[in-house]
Amino acid sequence: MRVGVFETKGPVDGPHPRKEPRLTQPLTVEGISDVFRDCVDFKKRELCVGDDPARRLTLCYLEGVVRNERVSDYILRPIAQNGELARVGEEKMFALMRDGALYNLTATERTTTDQAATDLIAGFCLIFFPGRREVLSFFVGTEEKRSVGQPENEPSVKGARDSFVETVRTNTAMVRRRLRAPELRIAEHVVGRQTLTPVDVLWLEGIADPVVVERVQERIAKMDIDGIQTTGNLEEYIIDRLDTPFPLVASTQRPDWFCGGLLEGRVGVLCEGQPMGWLLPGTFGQFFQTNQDKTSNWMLATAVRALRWVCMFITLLLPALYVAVVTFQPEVIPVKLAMSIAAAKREVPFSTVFEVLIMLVSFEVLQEAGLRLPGPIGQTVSILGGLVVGSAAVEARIVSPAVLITVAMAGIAGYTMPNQDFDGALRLWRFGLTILASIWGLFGLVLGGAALIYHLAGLESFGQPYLSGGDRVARGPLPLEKWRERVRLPLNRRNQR
Amino acid sequence: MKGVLVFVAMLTLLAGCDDRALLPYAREMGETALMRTVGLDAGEGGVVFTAATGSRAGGQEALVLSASGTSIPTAALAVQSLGDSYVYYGHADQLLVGEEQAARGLAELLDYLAREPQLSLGAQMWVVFGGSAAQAIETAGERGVAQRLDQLNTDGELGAANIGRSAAQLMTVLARQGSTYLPALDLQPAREGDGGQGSKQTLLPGGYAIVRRGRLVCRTDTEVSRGIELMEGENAGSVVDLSLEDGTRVSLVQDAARTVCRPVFQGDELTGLDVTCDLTVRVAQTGRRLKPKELEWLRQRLEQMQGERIVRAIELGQYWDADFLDLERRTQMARPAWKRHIQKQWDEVFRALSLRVEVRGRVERSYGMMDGAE
Repeated sequence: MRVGVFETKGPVDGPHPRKEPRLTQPLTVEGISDVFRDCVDFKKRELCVGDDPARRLTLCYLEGVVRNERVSDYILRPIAQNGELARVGEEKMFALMRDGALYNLTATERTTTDQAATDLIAGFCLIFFPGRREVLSFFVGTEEKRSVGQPENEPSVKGARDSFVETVRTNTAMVRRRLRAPELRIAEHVVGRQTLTPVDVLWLEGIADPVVVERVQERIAKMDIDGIQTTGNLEEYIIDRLDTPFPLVASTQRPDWFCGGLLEGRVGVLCEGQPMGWLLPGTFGQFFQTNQDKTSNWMLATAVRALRWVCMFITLLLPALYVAVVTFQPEVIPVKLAMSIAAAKREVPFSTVFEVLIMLVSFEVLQEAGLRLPGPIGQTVSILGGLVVGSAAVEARIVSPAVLITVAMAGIAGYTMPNQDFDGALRLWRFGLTILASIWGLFGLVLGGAALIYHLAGLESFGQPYLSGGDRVARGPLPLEKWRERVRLPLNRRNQR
Repeated sequence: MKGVLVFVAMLTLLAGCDDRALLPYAREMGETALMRTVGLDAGEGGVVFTAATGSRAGGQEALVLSASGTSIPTAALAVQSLGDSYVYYGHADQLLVGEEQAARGLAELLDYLAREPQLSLGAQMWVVFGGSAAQAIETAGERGVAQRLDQLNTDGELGAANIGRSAAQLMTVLARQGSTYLPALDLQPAREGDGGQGSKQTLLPGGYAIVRRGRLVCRTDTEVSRGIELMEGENAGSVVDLSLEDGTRVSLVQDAARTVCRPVFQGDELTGLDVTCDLTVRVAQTGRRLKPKELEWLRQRLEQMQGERIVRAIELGQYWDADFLDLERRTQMARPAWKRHIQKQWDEVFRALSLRVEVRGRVERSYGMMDGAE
């Protein structure tokens, strides 16, 4: 993996000892009890099989992780009521229970302590047979999860309103409901030594480029970390480059958008605990698109997409352009505007670049404060901050009105970006361009723009150039959009008759 | 990222920095006086350079700075040392030249404009009569003259004032045909209702200044000025007042004029010019409904009047041997096959060319309150 400035000079794969097997205790009741020693939620119970008090089994589970009714109805009741289990030999009883005497979809035979302990944590219960090295594991988990809600970060005006939740299996089910093709493949990897988080890779066989699928799976399989707690834990391990603020994978909360990506030939990733999915590879143009584009009229969608591109340039360039022309090239400003700016600037004690940087930083501070506080308080802070930093600063002649308008326009234009990570990258580059413009004027701005293009042109996402032209500004009428983008190398380019 | 830094470092080599200035010089607009109008007058042993801002926000008076010097750069530098702000000419889009300075010559001024990075060749030019350019700049007092000149320029584009000329146009036309015209301004004592608002003097459009080989040679009167505008086809909106036989006054507004100038040859010899002007007017004011016969009379009278104006404009050029109407190029455009013949003979025969001017007027129907009245 290329990581640019973060590249280490030594070997990338340094020693990171992993104990195999992880647990050395024997697979016995005593052994598993030792594994979960000092754990108040670890429970074990001895059971009589049928009406024979001499034949005993031991049930182990983690309280809170399993659902009591499931244990009672599907494990305890058949063991207690099925007389045949008591009459047959132990070998036969083990086989009967494994093969269907207990009412459970998943009955698995476990032979190692590692497997058994992992099952307990995942919501299984274990049945130990005296004298046997194998145990039976039955899924009786609570499956407590947040219900499917609306995508808060990607609201829908017209179209589906469901959103991914934190449970990966629910998310895969939502995808399955939309993509009913048997060719939908879902491969699972367990990532994280401590979290053992399931990470699923989804793709449509026959459409997605198998090389990308293989590359994604390889990178996820190579992840050897303590655990996945945040989205960054996954993104930063699978992308091609770390020395860029631009997102190289697109994330979404919306199953419909996710499925649309799979249909385009992209590869999807879902992760337990993360209410979102990732679509790979990520390309520059992709971050100007939303699912709404396909619910609107094609002309309107094209206009809105074009507007987003314009807003991208505004949010990126406007403060820098203002600094450059006001400080170095005022002749390009229309006369009346120039006179107005000059008059307003006369009372302001700071230099133009300092004014702009003050306002840009204030804007970021306000945004951060608004995000971190609970909703109503955040709104209040935003309004108060807007008033104080805005009108009060202008009235106090700390900043000139033109600077305030410039920074506000740049900020608001940034909010039209559908992807907040992408907006964040633009905001970061905005500072750099403003500083360059304050040093060299328009030349500095051009210089920064060239550097940005150079940087973007050097980026790749899973082998696909970041600036590849697969995602067009214009969206044609859907009946005429008969081909998947060639740049993603789909196995089957035709998407309709 | 390392690549980006190396790339940026390499690009800085294109900045044109030298050992004197590593970085461009930044100026804060708040500490800058944005000059809108520049005036140039002849002074004793040199020139007088005057610069003025437009009306400034916040109730500040327009800043007028004036200094003299042996040359234009010397005087401009002297102006820079005046006042409390950095004098910036990047927005100077109005250039007034005094009559005496224009008569001395405009070549030095145009050369200075072309070389000075701050001053723009896009600046509109006027020649001031009846006073100096500095006096003209000071007419508007604290309001500044820029707004007035802006309005004159806009009026010119609408056909309600003189045709505008930028420094770049002047330079191009002088280089091509040696003569041209510049809009003239009259500095007159202010009177009630002229918009001067308390000023002692006011600026009014005053025909055109004819420039030949870079020097002012004469100024046109009203008739010639209208003739120039007809030839240029930029007289939309100008009004012609005529009186019918019974004394009824009729005002005609010119909507459009298109003039074509063709060469007349006798054998290979260029002997004359055949000028045809298609003119469209409409009735703007009349006291009663006009009869068809009266409309026809108006048309004929209009054709005669405008024809005479065109003749006078061309004859003025012939008198001064100044093809300020660009007739040579017009005739070449009308007869491309004869371009070389015209080019070869033009300088010799221009003054003696016979003229045949035909104006084809068209009075368009217009409707008013009197229509339908018996």
